[in-house]
Amino acid sequence: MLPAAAQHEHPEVVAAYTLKVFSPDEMKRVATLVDLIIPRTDTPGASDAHVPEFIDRKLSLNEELKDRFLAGLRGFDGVLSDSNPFSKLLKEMTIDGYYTSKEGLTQELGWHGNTFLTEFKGCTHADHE
Amino acid sequence: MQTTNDVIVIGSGASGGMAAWNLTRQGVDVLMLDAGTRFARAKFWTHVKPWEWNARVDRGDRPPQFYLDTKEQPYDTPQGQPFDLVRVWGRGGKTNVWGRVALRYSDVDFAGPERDGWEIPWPIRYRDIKPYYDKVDQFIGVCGGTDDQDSLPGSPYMLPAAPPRCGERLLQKAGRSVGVSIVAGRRAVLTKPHGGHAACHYCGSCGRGCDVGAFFNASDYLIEPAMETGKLRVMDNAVVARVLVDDEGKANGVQYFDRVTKEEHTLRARVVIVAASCIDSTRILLNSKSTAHPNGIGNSSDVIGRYLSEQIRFHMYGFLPELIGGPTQNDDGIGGEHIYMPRFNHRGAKRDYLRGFGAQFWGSGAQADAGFAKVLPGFGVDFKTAVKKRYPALVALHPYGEVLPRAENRVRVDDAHVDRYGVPVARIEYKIGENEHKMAKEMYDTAEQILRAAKAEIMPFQRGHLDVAGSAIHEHGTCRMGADKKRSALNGFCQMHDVPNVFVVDGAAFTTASEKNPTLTILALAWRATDYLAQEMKSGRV
Repeated sequence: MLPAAAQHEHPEVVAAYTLKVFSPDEMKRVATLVDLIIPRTDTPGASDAHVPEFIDRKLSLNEELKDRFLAGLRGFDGVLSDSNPFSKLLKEMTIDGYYTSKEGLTQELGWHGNTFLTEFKGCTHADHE
Repeated sequence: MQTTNDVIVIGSGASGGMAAWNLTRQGVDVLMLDAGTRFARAKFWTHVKPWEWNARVDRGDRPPQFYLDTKEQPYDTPQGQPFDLVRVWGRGGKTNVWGRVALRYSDVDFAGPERDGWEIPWPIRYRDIKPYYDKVDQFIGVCGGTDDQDSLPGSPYMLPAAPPRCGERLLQKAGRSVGVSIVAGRRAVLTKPHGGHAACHYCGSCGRGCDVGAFFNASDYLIEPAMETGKLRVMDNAVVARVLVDDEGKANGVQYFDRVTKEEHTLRARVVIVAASCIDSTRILLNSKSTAHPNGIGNSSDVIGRYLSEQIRFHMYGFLPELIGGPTQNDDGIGGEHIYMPRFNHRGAKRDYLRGFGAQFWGSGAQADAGFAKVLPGFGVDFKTAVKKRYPALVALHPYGEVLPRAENRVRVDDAHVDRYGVPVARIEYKIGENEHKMAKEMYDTAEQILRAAKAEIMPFQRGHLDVAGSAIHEHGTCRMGADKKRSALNGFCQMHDVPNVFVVDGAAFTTASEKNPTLTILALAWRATDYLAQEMKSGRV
């Protein structure tokens, strides 16, 4: 969970989420799986970063994707593999969700962009010349 | 009795905006027909962070809808021959969200057809357009370097270049080591305040529209000042279907449909300027059939609709060893690349293909996502670590190649498929050929050579793969200019050979496509064309 201070800072991020597609059981299963893909370390993991909600929302916007995902989830043996189509889909959606979340983008990757600067210095390393 | 307008301009993007601005400041009254409405700059989502986006959408908010939905305005392509057509209907058109790459054509481009004998020559040379490039640079503000070459003419009017990011500087160095010159980019972004417009604040979110207008867009830079003269009137939601003609075949107005009420209207004009962007302009011209112009207005040559030339393009990515595992920097800069690889293949050994290619580098450095992670293998802590290490080290190469003009690459209109107003839609039939596939081979070789010289970990790629046609959003050539009336539709001033009071000033007018981004040249050609038109109107010839 996010610290309370962060919740106050970004209320819209942690506002209660109502499931649109997943049943509560499916939601739990997806949370377990996405945390196997991107686990919590010294930075948040995928479910800390609300990736299951991200996936639920995506599925609600795309009927074809929803059917494919839910069928894949039902038939999934739980073993993640880059050659398994469902596993690959889940990994891709986890990447999209996690690395565009506040936790994934700023805490994990250290992104600090989309801001207001008066100057852009570019590369300042002589050895890159 | 209907009022007759001096000039009707169809379209409000780079070309239509320039036409309206340049004519009104010379005292000509202009009525501009815009297929959409003005985009409210204050409501742009420029500074919405990625994680705030979904929450906003859940609340029922929407970002500005720049892109035209094909459900509203369909177009056809043959089975198995896709073409991605990107259209923005609304004030400023695609300049609201354009890539801002502002490269001058050189005589390597303008004299290409004479050199290799493929298709007709341009009726103009660099010396004809240079004064207009100079004026455009000064007017809109283009930042860039002085490291010019024969394939990329310079400008004395550049704003300070945006300094390269680490990855870009390392690619420049790698390029040098293999004899490929990678110069400072030329971009229409204000690196200092210019012409009453604010300077860039380096947020990198230009693709969502700039909240302060720090890069050229036709709405703020051309249309608003033109309206201040009192000479420009803009009609919103006016979707033009046809240019109308009198008994002698001279244009005398336009037919349009109101996008809201769907009602049909006509307007009268002395002069019609077609500036609806390449494909939509072509569609209007081909649909403007009459007894005098059975094949579409101004099309006795049968070239209108033909010679559609887009560009070939692909992407290659890598991670630079000097940056892997390093600190994450704010790489936003002016959004998109700060460097550019100009065409070089006209030097040295003769190639087994015609024309050439350049390269852009957008998406290098820390991005607001990590899409590259999808091709990294594995799961868990190791995977997470692998992504983090590579994140600051990403570089991206995007070679763009010229496509030869071919008569069979064409836009048609088909009475069997009409839009919601009953107007035939465009059918785009477009294929690349042997020449482009040969060029793509050297494009792949070059991109790989640069990345290898940089000792990059290269992301897997499929040699020979090219983006879907249309992806570069650089359509040209379907109403081309030329000296020979039998083989071209326009003269060098974008004026129709057949119908002297119709001008076509957008990308359709180009004789060849080049590998370069066309907007700067569109602005210069439209400025030149309307200087000529203003003179012709004063002298009473038009």
